[in-house]
Amino acid sequence: MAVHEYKCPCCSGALAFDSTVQKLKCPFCDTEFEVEAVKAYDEDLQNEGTDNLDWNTDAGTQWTEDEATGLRSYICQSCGGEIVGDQYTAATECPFCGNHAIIMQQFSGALKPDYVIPFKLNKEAAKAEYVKHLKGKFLLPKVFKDENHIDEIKGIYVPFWLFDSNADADIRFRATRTRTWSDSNYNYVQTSYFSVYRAGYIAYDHVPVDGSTRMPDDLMESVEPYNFAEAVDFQTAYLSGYFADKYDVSAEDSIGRANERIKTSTEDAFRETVKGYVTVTPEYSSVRLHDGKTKYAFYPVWLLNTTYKGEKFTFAMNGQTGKFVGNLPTDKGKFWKFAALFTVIAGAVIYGGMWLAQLL
Amino acid sequence: MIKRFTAILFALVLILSVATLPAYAAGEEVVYSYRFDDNADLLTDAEEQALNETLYDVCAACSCNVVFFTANDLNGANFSHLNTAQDYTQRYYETCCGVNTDGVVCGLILHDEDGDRQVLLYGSGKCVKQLSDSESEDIRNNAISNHNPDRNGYYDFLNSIALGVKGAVPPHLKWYMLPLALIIGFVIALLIMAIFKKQLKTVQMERGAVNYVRPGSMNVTAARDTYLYSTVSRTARPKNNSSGSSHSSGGGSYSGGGSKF
Repeated sequence: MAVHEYKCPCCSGALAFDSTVQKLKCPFCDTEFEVEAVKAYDEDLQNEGTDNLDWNTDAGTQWTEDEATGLRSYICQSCGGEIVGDQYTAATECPFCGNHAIIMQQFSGALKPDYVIPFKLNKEAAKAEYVKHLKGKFLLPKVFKDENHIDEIKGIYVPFWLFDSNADADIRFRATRTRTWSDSNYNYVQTSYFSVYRAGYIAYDHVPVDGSTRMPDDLMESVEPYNFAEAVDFQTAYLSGYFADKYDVSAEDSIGRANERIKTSTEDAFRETVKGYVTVTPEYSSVRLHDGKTKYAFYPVWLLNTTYKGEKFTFAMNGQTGKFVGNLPTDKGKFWKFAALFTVIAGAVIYGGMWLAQLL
Repeated sequence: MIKRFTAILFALVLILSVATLPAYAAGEEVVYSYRFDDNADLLTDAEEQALNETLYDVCAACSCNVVFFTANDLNGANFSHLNTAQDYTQRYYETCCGVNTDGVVCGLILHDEDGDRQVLLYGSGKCVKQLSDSESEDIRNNAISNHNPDRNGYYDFLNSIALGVKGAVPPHLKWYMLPLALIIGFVIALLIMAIFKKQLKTVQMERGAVNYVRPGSMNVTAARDTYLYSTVSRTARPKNNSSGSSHSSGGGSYSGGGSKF
């Protein structure tokens, strides 16, 4: 299969998208180019024809059936090295020369994304946010914080399905109000029960659902929200310099999660219109979606990996907003030490309070 | 954050300490007394001296007045008008120490208004709270059962009551209070640690899609609030919030009671 690189018109080096200036930039001669200009230049280059770089591939052994279906092998157009990916790899880098390669076949036909939100934050910003993420965490093991070692940082365009829909809702709640009064002998509580009905409609735009099984869903939802106003029509040039996967979860398979989120938020929104009650409990809800549309988009995520005591920890940063998330390990010794300390202090305060209550 | 929690705990201790200082300061200025009047002449001189020594200890340990007396009957006391053992004992105390002063009074009356022998034990002032009805009853019952004057004499009987008062009136906590305080402390500690642990977990699924609601798109087309029915529940109001009951036959407030035997 062929891979595609955007060549620098000045020095023929592989161009990379620079999130800071929002242009393609040559890492060799530092020349900056507009995306549209490079795209037009690249089309001209394509018309010039290509070299024949076929090789005799008799060496090696045959792939097993599983390997053959899962693995893909590409040839780097800069150095001729072999880039091994899988069936979902859409953009990667050559392990030999480090040039950025885009697998064009992943974007052909129906698989081409509709939109992409370009990276606005670079790797340095991700490192800075990681350091900030570790600060102020009392139970974080000191060794983890001090070593501060990151195994890998990757900028990845993650495939998302975006759902637009209008929702009609009929929701009924059981609500209560209470009134209290007293006489000389008793305290009284009157609880009044109401059936509260609300109907209406609400609309959602671009509800994202992770389209890649390789990205944990909770991690991807934790870096939300994205500002879709900054999305642009997809062009492969934006992928240069980053990794990208094509989707391996279909839009149909993502509908369940989108429905779940939309239904929950619809119920919450109408619940907010029920005021003046002590308790409000949903009894029945019917949410009907219509005019639903689905789009395919690439969203920017910085992924950071580190290992602590043999366990892998993955952090993610929203490449657009800088929101940084990732679970951290707990210092169990410190946890129980301070739990015991707080038990003694709180117990002593309570015991002292009991004594003082006797004196007052 | 650890500093914040430590500061809160120490502030709590400080507030509680400061709140109790006036009580201690006020207590130091009062001089308490003790006395034993053997009007019924039930004890020997040596026994009276021994009992007085015990009452001195009780007075010092409890920081309150201690009045013990014996009486043949309720006659000849012009301070008591109701002619009951309770009124006699409470007015006896007020005559000695004043109304609602901090103290304990124990009266042993050989012939009360019904002609029965009765022992009465009351707390006054702060001792209303410290010597509850049940504690007074326990002390009386213990004396009647284990130090009955018909077997051991009146000195042993009254001395056991004095020692009972010494154990009940000073600030004291039941044995299970310490483990109870530690259990509550452990629960509080776990809550604090849960807050610290929550800092480490930032990955979770989004609950809904509230960030993706189209601005201004929500419209409520129908809203009905229908009243269904009501229920009324009632709970009895507490009559008294103090740990010891407070009752009187006319003067100050007292806890405790009397037992015939």
